[in-house]
Amino acid sequence: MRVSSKVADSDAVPASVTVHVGDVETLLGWAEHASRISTVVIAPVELHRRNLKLRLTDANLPLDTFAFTGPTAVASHILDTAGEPSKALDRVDRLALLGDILSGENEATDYFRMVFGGEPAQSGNAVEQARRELEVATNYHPDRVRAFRQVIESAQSPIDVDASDLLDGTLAVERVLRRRSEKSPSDGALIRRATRTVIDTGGSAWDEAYPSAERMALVGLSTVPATLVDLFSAITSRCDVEAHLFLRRGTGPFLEQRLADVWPVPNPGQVVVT
Amino acid sequence: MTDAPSAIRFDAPNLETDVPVAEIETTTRYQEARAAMAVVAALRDRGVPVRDIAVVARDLDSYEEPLTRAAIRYGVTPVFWTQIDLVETGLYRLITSLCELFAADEPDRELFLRPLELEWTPQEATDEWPLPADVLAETVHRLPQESRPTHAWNSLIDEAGWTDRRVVEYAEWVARDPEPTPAAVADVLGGVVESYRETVVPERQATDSPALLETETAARATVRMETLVKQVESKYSQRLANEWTDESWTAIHGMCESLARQRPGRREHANARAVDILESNDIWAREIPYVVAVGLVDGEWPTRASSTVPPELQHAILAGDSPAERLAPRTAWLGGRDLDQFRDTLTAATTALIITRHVRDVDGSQQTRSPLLDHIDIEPISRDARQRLLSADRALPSEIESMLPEETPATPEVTPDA
Repeated sequence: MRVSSKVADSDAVPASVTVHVGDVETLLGWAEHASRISTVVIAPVELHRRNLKLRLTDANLPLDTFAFTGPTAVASHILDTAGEPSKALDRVDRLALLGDILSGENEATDYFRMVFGGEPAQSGNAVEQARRELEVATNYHPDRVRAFRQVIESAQSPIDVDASDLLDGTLAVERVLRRRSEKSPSDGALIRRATRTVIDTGGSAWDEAYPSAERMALVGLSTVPATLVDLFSAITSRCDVEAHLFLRRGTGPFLEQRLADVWPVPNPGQVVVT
Repeated sequence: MTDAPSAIRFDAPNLETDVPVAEIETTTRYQEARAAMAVVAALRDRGVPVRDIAVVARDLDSYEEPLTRAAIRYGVTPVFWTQIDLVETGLYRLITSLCELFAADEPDRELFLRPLELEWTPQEATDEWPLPADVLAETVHRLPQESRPTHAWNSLIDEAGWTDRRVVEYAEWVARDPEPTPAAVADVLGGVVESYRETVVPERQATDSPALLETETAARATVRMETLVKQVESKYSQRLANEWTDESWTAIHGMCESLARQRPGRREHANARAVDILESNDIWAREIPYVVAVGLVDGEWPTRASSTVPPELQHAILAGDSPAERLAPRTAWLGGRDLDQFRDTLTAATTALIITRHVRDVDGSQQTRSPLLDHIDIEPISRDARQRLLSADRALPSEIESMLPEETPATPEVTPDA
């Protein structure tokens, strides 16, 4: 099996991005005694950070050069360093706010009444799931939302109508959430803000947050959400840092092949306005 | 959108495995859990150190209880590592909001009403609980914001003609102002968890989506909180006796926080005598000589991911034909996550992998073998060998026996597990 590669030999993805499938040895090999962080390891699953630390300690390798963190913590740190608000609503608070939004009469409730039936306030979880799924696919970027709409339009009836209501309802809910919450309404929204901050500061927001980082690694995912694609795209386009995606054995080859098309969007972190 | 769904493949059909794989078929989930723990015990008998063994399940919810029972039977101490993030659950928030409220001399309106907002429910509730959102909103609107002692809040609410009697009941309950004793942890906080289980969880179930996601989280959180409250009670009384802590609700709050941030069941002191029981998502990047993977049943591992996106669109996005190519595909739509977790389990095992599955569920209906096993070379364990494994001899099946390296000492360790 091919273990690591530049992304599908594509021009769309910068040369500083490397995909590894099913191998963590490369990452372990970066261990060194150093007083500064050279590798930022982004593991969305908390136990994966522990597993990597275990592997390092079992192999008598030093941990000092790694920062083990999660995507939201990275976004938060970037925003914090740039002097921007860095808090996001967590799921419990967001569901409460969603419940409140969905119990009123608004654009979003009109759509969701069509999609899920009954009272939209009872569908808080489904709405939250739709919001998350659309975020994974598009990161609410205008180009990807447009593509999503085109995919919907080419679907057969009545799927096109249902999916169109789902999309419009979700976009409406995302808008209201943004308006109603002082904090970023979700981790995804926080990451988008960090992504834009990196772009707007010409990369200095990342450089100041992780001044000694030579590389960042994203590990342990079975799906690379557009949210993280855009964050990585912003950082690699503005900063002198390598990006390594450690994909898993089953889905890795597939995701690698799809990454080249998902990666390039203008102004990563930009949010659709409709 | 022309391809058939089968056109998308995540990986090569024929898997080479680095280590031998054995498969034990059992009738029920309980028998399966026993077989898994019997293998663990038999390996221990052969001198395999406990840290060299791990049990893995796709979803620990359905296996935690049977595995615990089986572990007791075989004298194995299990440590369950699960994903639920207690600090993000409503029930945890409710408990800590009460600690904060009791700790405050003069709470303001927000602090005073926060537990109600987090679905506080009285014991033996007769009215409709938790408090409906419109009643809460009305209460917030009408009450003054300024801080005052809880008894003052109580009189204020009691004397106001407009208050809902449920709010009156709550205010009276709070105004009892329990002393921060270990007994109060058990009675007051334990009581709130119990009411939550009796009232909020069923109510959640009634309004939840068909997949019952929220109910499941609420139910799991309740089980975890019951354990947490007991832990806090016992540690708090210990620490009070040792004079390591002062008697205060703030101290209790702090203990809730530090215990909740530990993984449930996680040992506080490194205890090399417990077997790690993990969910398969958590085994990524691990290397463990002996892995026992349970629940390789179609519908459980792999399981069907719930989605709000219609299957046709899922397929278009996965296939990535124009215009869908710019959209990031969610591989869980097509079992990608479960495949990854299975591959990670295969890779984690450095000496042997033992797979178990059951063929009947609780209603007696047939459970089929996981398709994830289709393309790998597996040594089936015979019925007789399984019986001997589950008997008092707990004889390790010869197929598994042959996977043990020869240098493994044949003498059992002196210290027993539990």
